[in-house]
Amino acid sequence: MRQARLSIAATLLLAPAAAAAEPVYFHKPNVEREAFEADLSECVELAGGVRTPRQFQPYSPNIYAAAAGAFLAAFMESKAHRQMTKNVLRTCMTDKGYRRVEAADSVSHELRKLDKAERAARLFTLAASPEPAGRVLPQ
Amino acid sequence: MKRLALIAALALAAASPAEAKTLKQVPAALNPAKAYLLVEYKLLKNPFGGLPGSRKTMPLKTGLAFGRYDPALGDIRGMGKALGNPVPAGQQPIEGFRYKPLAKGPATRLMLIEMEPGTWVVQGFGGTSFSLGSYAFELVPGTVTDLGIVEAEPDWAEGQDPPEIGDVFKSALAGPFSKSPDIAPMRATFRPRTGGDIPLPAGIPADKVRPVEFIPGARFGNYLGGLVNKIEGVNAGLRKPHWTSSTNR
Repeated sequence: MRQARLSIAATLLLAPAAAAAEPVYFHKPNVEREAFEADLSECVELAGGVRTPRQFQPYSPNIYAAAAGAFLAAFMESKAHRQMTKNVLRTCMTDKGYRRVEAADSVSHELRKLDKAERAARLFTLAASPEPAGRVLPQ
Repeated sequence: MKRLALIAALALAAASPAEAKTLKQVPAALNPAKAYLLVEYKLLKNPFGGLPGSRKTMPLKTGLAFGRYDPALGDIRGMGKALGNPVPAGQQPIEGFRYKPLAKGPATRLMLIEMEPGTWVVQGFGGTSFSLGSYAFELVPGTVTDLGIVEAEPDWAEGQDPPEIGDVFKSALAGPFSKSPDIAPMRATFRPRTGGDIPLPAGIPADKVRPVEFIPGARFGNYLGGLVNKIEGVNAGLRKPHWTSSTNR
């Protein structure tokens, strides 16, 4: 179960929030794998509780306008959901003593090539390394 | 057809669990089977209060949510780890905020809520769930538990700021393609009632009022669907290394 959550987290964490943003991962020097999995699992579970409020969509009798409105509402909702999920992960992992690290280009390229299980394992190696492999972001 | 709909609505109302009552008046006598909770809200500052003609404080649209807590299982009753310990039928595990002040001060509102006795937890404020650590407390039947004064504020993370008026205009102009403004979970601070606060309302027997005894460290799942935080604020704790919680203990 934890392994599955770790895989989900690996995908979630490494998806950049905006097109220009770099992927982010959490770092705590020399953290034990068990502790890392437990921490991340708990935070992913809390993030799973996020329910995005419905976006207001004005009524239109024009089907094209209604479709465009629905598309934009879904776009906004998805954006808000991602932002809230990231905020929950950030607050929760900060509380557990982790720092956010912006993965260097080489690291993110390497991670994208791995499958979910390998990516989760690599994510742990990165999280536990004595020095962060990338720029440390504000807490 | 209308009659059928009315019957269905009545049946639904009868079957749905009873909510806690937020009282607009002190009851003539305290119900010995119920417990009462007294809490005074300090109104939130209006972030755009500096603009000419703007109000200085925000209207109280959101507030504290309370959950029935199982300290042994470590979750809200009937949910998550405490799934096996639901509240009795006809009761609610979560009591949300309802704006019905008993008394008003210039920037404060006093609420008196009739609730079920037992162990409760401050579950959240304004949609933020204090899942990372909150205060549990006991409500004793036939008594009024005074939570004191609660003040809530956004718990901004390092490098994040509340939106300014320029950001609001930018966001309005660019619509869904604008950069989303930063968001922050809420944090809440409690302090005991003092001379400058709204006094205890007449009609509440003084011998029935007990100050709350908070038990910190209560953790639970995110059932409010919003952001999460520690009640004292994870980010506020980072900014103040020697910060101590202000509880009514």
